[in-house]
Amino acid sequence: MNTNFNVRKNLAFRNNVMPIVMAYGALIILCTIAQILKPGFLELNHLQNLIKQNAFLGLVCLGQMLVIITGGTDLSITYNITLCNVMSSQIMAQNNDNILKCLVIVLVIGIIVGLANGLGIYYLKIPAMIMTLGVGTVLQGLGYIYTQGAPKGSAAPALSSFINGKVFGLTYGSVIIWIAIAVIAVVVMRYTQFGRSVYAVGANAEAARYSGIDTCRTLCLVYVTSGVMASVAGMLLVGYSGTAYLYTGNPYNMDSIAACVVGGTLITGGQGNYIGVIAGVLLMAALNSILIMINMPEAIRKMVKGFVILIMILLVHRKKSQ
Amino acid sequence: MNNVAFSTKVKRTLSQNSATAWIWVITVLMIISSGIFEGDFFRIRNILNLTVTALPLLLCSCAQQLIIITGGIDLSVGSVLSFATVTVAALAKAGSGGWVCAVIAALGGGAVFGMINGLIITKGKQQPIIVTIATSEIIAGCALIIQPTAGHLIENMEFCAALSGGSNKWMPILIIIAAVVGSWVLLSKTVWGRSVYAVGGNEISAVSSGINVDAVKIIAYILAGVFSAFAGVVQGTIMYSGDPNSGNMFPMKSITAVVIGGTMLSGGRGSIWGTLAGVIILAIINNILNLMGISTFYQYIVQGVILLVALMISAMRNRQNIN
Repeated sequence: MNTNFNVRKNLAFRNNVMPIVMAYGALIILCTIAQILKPGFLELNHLQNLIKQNAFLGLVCLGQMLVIITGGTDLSITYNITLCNVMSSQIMAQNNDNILKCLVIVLVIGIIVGLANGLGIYYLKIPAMIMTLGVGTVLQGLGYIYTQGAPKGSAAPALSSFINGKVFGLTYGSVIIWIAIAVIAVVVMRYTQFGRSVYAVGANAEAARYSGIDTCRTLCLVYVTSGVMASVAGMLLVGYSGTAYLYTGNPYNMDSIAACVVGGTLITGGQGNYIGVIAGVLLMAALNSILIMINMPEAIRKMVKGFVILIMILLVHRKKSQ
Repeated sequence: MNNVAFSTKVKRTLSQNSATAWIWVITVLMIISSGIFEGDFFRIRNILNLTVTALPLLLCSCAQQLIIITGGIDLSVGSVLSFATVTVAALAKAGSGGWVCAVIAALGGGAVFGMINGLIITKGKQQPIIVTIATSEIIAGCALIIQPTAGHLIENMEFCAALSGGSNKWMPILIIIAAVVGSWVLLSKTVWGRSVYAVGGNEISAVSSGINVDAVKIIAYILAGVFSAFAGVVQGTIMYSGDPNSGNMFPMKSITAVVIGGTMLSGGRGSIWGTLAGVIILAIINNILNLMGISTFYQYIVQGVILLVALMISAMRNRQNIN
């Protein structure tokens, strides 16, 4: 009885805690190397800048992580970000009064995209990857048609200063948003019925349904979260860069999947924790930052990134031998 | 008597390949209506243009389909394609023999990258999606090292003209026929091809019926690499130059084409003829919008809607089959 409990505890540790420990371990090692190479790396100012730039990826990764835990992947994120990016800059048009209007529109887009994804996946039994790819292609077209190929407008000054300036003299707005979302996400995933049902659906959708979990509602909420996170990130990115362009979202599909997996999320579903994903995001961000600091060209940066993803998945995720 | 046997045979073939049959019905309807709406559509020149633009996507989709039938997915096809275009641009010097080593280097590179994918996925027991995301970054890095920006002209003009239909206008059609028939023979007429379907359908029963699953998968990834590299060679010769970003859209486009063609993402099913129809549909959308003078921005919406409609139809058919 006691040994049985111990074995289960060990298994849970190996599956749930080990990947997170490894992600943070890799992050600490990387930061140490960075500090040795460039002594300014661990200064508070530089770290804040680093987090500010990657908070958007962090937000997107929350949605992507939820989707991956339920056993899917969300490929509509890229075009969702781009569409909301170009729309917000055009709606805001450098006017602070339009921020609220813009936020509402962006939230509505995120919810519609998420509902379309979730309902299609649940009722039509379409594989998540293809459903989100189809919805994403439609969003890409909407982005092109809305802008006619040339995005207009620019950020409202208030949004720009919120993202790029220090709020209350503390830290950047995007950092504050990310921290707030992260706290909410960790608490919700751990302590609420919704959080537990996400894991249950990912581990075995059929069993979850038989044990009385509303699979449809869970899936829809997961995809709506993903859609809203992506569209809000798209809006905030206008504030960050001051303007919009049609390729803003491009790296986010692959980067978010990579950061989630490096942070210990199991790509086949059922396992994952946002605490680990934060480490995954920061790991990729720190890596990129170091390589830029030591003047590596884009080619080397991409190769190193690829190698790090490979090493992390080979270390953390081994399929159980049959 | 004989007649009855023949009609049952036809019926059986049709019901076994109903997904492919349906997609071809839709394709033919699209071709006919395009011809009716736009008189220019059936001009030989337009058809040839259509073939040239569809050629790289078709080759890429052959690669993607191979992997999807094994139950995986390959997101590195685009990077391999970019790698091949820049390799050809760097190596295809003017002169008679220059193109040979360029093509060998490009295809060899594709094979090596495919083998790396296959080895990590099978021996390292990893999921294809995340492995190919990682390797696609590495391959894209290699392409950027060879040529950091777009626009390096290919010196060997005769080679470009020969492959992309400049000197012999039937060449693209010949390549398409060769690629489709080649994939069809590989997948349905060889022992290896049969094992690919078996592995994708049910890996455990494939193992217990004596198939070397790892070897089958590794060969599939190598072939996919070679196919995508060849797509890159063709893409390079069409543009007469190399571009390290030319493959960016191809992973998603090839998945779209393959899925429209009726291949199941869960693996084990799918026909190259369906994929050919999927590629034709995607090419026609773009072409007909161009001919009608509608902004090509609408092509993405049409493309996405067609993908979703195709998925709904196949989902409904599956439900009927179950009932």
